[in-house]
Amino acid sequence: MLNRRTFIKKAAIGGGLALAGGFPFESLAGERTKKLTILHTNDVHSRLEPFPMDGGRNEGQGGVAARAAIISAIRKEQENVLLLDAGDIFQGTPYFNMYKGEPEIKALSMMGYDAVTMGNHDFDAGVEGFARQLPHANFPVLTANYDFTNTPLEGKTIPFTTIKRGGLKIGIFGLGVELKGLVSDNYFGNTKYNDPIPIARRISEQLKRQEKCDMVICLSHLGYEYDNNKVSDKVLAAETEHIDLIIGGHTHTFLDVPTSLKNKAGREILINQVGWAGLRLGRIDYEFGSRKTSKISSAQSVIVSKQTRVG
Amino acid sequence: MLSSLKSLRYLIYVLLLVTASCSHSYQVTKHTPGSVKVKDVSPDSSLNSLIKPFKDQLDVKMSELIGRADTTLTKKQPESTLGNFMADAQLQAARKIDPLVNISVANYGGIRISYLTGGDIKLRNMYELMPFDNMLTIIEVPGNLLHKLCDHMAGLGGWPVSGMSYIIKDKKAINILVGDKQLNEQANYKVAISDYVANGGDNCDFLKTATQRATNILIRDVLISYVRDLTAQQKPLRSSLENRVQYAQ
Repeated sequence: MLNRRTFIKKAAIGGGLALAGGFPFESLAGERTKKLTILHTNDVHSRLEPFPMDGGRNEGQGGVAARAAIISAIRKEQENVLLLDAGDIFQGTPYFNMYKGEPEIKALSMMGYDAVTMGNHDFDAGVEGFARQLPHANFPVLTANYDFTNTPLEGKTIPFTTIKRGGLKIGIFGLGVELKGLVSDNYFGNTKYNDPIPIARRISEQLKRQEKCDMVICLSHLGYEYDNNKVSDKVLAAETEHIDLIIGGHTHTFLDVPTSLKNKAGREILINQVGWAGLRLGRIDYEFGSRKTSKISSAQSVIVSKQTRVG
Repeated sequence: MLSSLKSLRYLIYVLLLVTASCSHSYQVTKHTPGSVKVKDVSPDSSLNSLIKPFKDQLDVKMSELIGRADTTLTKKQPESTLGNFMADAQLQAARKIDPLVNISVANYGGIRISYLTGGDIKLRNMYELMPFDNMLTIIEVPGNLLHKLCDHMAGLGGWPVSGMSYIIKDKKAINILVGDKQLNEQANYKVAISDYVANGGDNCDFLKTATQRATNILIRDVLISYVRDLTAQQKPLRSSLENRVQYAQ
């Protein structure tokens, strides 16, 4: 398969003849453009209420009720919306100390989150503590690099999911940070952390190739970047080929606009992260074009190449 | 001519089928950023109804007034007023259990608010400052291990301490003073610290060899008691910068 693709690519460059146009195949492509609005949060840390009116710099900001109102307004305007969270749902306000995550998960369900991943603080009531709140979740928890075998979360999370919205197919997978040294051993128990890079390569390729997703999103709690060689979203972006967007967390990084980078294949990949505490709602509006049109031009270049003329 | 055109069309068709069957149909052509601040919006009533019963029960407990801060305490590196308050409270609590505790160390990442506004201190503030259920622990470490801990703290930009001081130079700790004496590599020191760090948290694996004395007192309760004690003495919470941790000039 790869060889054939390479051949087409080379032939396209070698042939260099433009498409003559008017072929009936264009109609197969359906609509020319599609739209998708991606909304996201990270590191909300049990901030169910807005920050108190105490003169502090965040006073009156955040809170699930305000966030839900913004989300509803966007859903009224936009047909295709995805709502995602990149982990650390738990810990940081007395709500978590008192209720151990029940209102947090119920709020995410009510807001209509499509998927989340787990952050290190989502282990703060132990693996069993997170598992205990899952009956309140109406969305999948995506964790591709945690192995929960022989833990209370075994079989309760999935590595990836695919979601169809308005004729688009979106693949989403989740990656978590190394727990050792960050989370107390007794909290994560038998959870095994696996190197995220090879897993991200495998799953993102599977989502694009086998699952034929139009877009691949990684929900990552790895952190935006580090000044050492620790794996981060920037490393992940540079080391993989099939992810279109990384929605990050952990480092509480406020990005005013997404960071645009080149992936391993030289194609664009975005990283976005919106600080913490639900102070902001991340939003990126995507437009998609038919991929078949570009494939047609590749194919036709082949036709004018030497082999086809002989035939 | 006609047949060659036909075969040409057939070939295109086959190629299209092959390419279409192994790839997705659409690709990103444009993206527009639009993140927004969550504020100045009338809140959603169903979410408010969802959290109301949780909030009502919580508010009763958390709005308890436990004391006053005479100025705003902040979180900062290498040294901060919020960090010094935490380290001081730990040291005071540990010395009630073992008067020979020399020093206290708090992990910077464990300070979970960036400031504590001057004025009333409510129970809620202490939960937000220290939401984790970490326990106060007393560890006994040889001087060389304490030196290693200081280097570790320096490498991370400085952690709050009490009863000691150090200077950060090239991500290492220099001029480490315990009380007013230079660190003695051969001596043993008793350190008040959280069980999280003592058990290797924040990459402090090297501390696992130290002798531990558990206290079963939550660090949060240590902070709450410290403020309550001040209130009982009719004193506000006061914390200042004392050059406990400095960057080398």
